[in-house]
Amino acid sequence: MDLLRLYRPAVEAVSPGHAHLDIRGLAEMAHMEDEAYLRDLQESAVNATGLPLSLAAAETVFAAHAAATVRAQGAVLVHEGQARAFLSRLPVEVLPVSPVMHQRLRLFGLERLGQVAELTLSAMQAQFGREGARAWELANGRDDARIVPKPEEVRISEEVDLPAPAALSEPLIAGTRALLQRALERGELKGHSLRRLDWRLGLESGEQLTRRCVFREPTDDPARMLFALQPKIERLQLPAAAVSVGVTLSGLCSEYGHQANLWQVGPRRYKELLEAVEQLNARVGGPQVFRIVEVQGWSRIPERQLGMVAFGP
Amino acid sequence: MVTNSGTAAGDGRFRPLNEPSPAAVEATPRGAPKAMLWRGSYQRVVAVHDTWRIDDEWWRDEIARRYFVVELESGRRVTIFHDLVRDLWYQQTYEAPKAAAPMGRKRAG
Repeated sequence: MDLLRLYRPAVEAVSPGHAHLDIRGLAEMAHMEDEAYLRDLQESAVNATGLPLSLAAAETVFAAHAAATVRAQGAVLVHEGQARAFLSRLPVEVLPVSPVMHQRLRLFGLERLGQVAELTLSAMQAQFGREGARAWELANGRDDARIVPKPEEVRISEEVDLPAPAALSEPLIAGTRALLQRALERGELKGHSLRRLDWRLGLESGEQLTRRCVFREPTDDPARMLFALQPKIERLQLPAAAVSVGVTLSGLCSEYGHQANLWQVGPRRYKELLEAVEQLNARVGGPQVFRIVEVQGWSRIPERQLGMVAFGP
Repeated sequence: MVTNSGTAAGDGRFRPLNEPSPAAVEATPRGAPKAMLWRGSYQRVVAVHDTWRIDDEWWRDEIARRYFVVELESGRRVTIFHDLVRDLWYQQTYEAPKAAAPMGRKRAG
């Protein structure tokens, strides 16, 4: 996967040893013909991995997948407009349907995709249901599948060696606090909250202890993270003194916060709130704080149901 | 007549909420959504869980929309609609409207 991502970030890992890669435009950028580019890509991948590799390119994901499946090694290019003709010769086992359906197709005497393509859609659908309709579309070269790369998970790690081996929880907590503050200052986490904290402790004996915290509500507050983790640290029974502490933060999401109810404060706080809002409006220009009011709650048009009114007198 | 509250009218004191946002949707020739651009990549519509149509305000700026609750291949459910007047697609959160509007007050005099 990492090798393929050097060529193009849009890589979809389908299953072990099977990936889809979007290579549109790459041959042009390399000033090569499509077939030559494909051969070059295949040779580079084989040389880098030492593994036998079959590579195929086509207009649609299914046509490329089917071409790579039937060819043990080497590179295959299915030219534009020739997908249907190419697929017609392939066995029905290349269809991404259940094994039971493969068997049933054979029982009906349908051994090649060309035979499936010659039938009508309604006949395939009537006999095989949704799978049959999909099989018919694919056999006719109609495939609207897109390559969906897996989003990369951002993980931020920080680690520190303790100045002296520690057996008590206080230095571990202090070290963890410092690590969390350092990690949360990293640019990658700006504007994000986190759901998961993995904490690890390196011991003198070479062992490593780990603990995981998954926050009920995402947070970017180191104090809240430590509050959740601290009881686990204090309960530890260390078989040997600790020499290092590490944290890994992951599960990034958008900023998350608690919205207190602005309309249920006492008169004094309300007046302070009004003044603060007026100050904010004057600094930024225009109303900045709004409250949601019902406008036409009965309307079938969603944008007419609610509106935002500037908070103020 | 509505009495003057004395509050200064100005830009930004009222803002609409839940405005539809343009969506990139591929549809079948019959108008059903089959793929949608979601966070930078096209995802196939694997199921349409609900569909309905609203027609309103024909006497001024006509509104004719066909709504779909679709499930994308990532498992996410999204509500989109096809603006039948402008032939454009939008995404919008949809909440069922509340009970009918209260009856108007009796006229004076």
